[in-house]
Amino acid sequence: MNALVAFLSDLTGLEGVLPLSMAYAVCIGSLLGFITVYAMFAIWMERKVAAHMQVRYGPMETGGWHGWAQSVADALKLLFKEDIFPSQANKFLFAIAPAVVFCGVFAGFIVIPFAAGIQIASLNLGVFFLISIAAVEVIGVIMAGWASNSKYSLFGAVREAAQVVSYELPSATALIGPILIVGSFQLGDFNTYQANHGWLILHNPFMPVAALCFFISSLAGCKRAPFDLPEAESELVSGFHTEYSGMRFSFFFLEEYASMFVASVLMATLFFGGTTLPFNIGDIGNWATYAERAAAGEPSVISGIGDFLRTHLGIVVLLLKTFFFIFIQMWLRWTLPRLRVDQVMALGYKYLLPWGLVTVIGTACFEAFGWGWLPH
Amino acid sequence: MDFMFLVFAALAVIGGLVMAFHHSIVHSAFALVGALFGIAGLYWTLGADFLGALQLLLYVGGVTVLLLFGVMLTTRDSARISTFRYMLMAPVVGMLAYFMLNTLRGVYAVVSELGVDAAEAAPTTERIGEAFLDPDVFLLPFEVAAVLLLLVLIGAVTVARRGSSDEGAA
Repeated sequence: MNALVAFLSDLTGLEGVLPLSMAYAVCIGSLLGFITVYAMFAIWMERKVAAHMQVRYGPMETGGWHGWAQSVADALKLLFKEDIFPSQANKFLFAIAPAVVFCGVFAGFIVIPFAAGIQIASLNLGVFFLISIAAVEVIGVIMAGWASNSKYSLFGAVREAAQVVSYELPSATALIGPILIVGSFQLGDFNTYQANHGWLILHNPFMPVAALCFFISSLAGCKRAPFDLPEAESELVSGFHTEYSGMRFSFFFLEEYASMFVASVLMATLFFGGTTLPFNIGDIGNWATYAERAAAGEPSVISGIGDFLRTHLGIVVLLLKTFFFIFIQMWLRWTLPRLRVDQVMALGYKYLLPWGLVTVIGTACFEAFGWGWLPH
Repeated sequence: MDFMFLVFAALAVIGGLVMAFHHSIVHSAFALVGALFGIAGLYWTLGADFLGALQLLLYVGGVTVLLLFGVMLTTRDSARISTFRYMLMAPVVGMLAYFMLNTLRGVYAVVSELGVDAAEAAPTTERIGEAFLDPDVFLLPFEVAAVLLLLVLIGAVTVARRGSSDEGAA
């Protein structure tokens, strides 16, 4: 962000607020573009994955090659749809709820470390910020369900509220272990640490448990099957967004896929090495080397190209891992039946939370005594 | 930063006013979310990043979600609250706020004498953690609060179990 401000200020010769606001505009615009394109791809991918799980082909016609333009066509259709307000709905809350929901996820994207230097804000709070800003999204969902003034939507909203209180605690608890090991909230530090010390999932016997706990509760956080109670289509039409149409509806769609992305990126960055390859092959995506070389002054042309490649291959590595976890989320959707509300609560409180606490205590002991499978 | 401070302050004040004066209890709850979010933003603009995120996580994510959950399960929107009775409380609350602000002004004077510039403040997480675990600073209050919270938790479980033991004994 600061580098971008400096660059824009150099480029235009302006000072003060103008380059800053231009940098904001560039960041927000590129993130919006990224999220939209990614969501279109993910929706196409979801339809393809679902189809192949059920021995079908899925979309095959639109755009020619395996229906690649299906999502583009869907997006165009949604753009032209009428924006319907239910007559009994609460107009104000109904109108702003999709924006609130989307903002909650969108704000999370600003701390995601795609590669060294490609991160909008390297907040010191990193992980903690991501967990806490997700609360805004939940409020938006409840707002949408209540403002629609429909019994299906209201049930969806109440279920979302009930689900939040049962998964938020386990998901935060599962993340304490990695934070203890790395000693930082900052997401970039996780990449550096794992480049030097190996992936955190192998760090000690508790880390796989923590990763599993986090993955399960992040499924609930994204409202994905088997935790799609707030929008259970066989019981509640489509839950909290039943009454929405057109672009407002598509914001809920964007939000769902964007939060899948955030959860998968967190999973990849916190447990599976982030931008680095196993055994740190090729030193790809190692943030320390990039920072050190940048600090050392003018790099030569060759090392400059090397750094450039490393940075950008780091993005590829991270995205591959992220899409692997997104694929698992889609896979589970077509494999597991939906849980009941009480089963979700029992899972959260009776299984995930105690196991999460075990990983915290275990990791703390292992760190205190310097034990573990990997060098400290 | 001043501009963002004003935005968040306006959000907090307007949210608080709507919460206090709106007739529908669900609207009040959503306005409370806005007010609490505004306060979290104020923490951020003043350099207390950890506190701001904590405010968001606990109050916006935890307390108000539970509140909304309870409100939606128990009441319809037709439930109206009379705000007039509470108007009588206004002088008392006003006095309290006055004293609190006076105290705050004292705190502010101390802080400004220490020469801490809010915008330049370093990340607070580490310092908060060290202060909590330092016997000379906050270790005792921290542990007492932890024990108190544990007691509350056990108490809540006991109360909840006693309530449902009639049907849930089997």
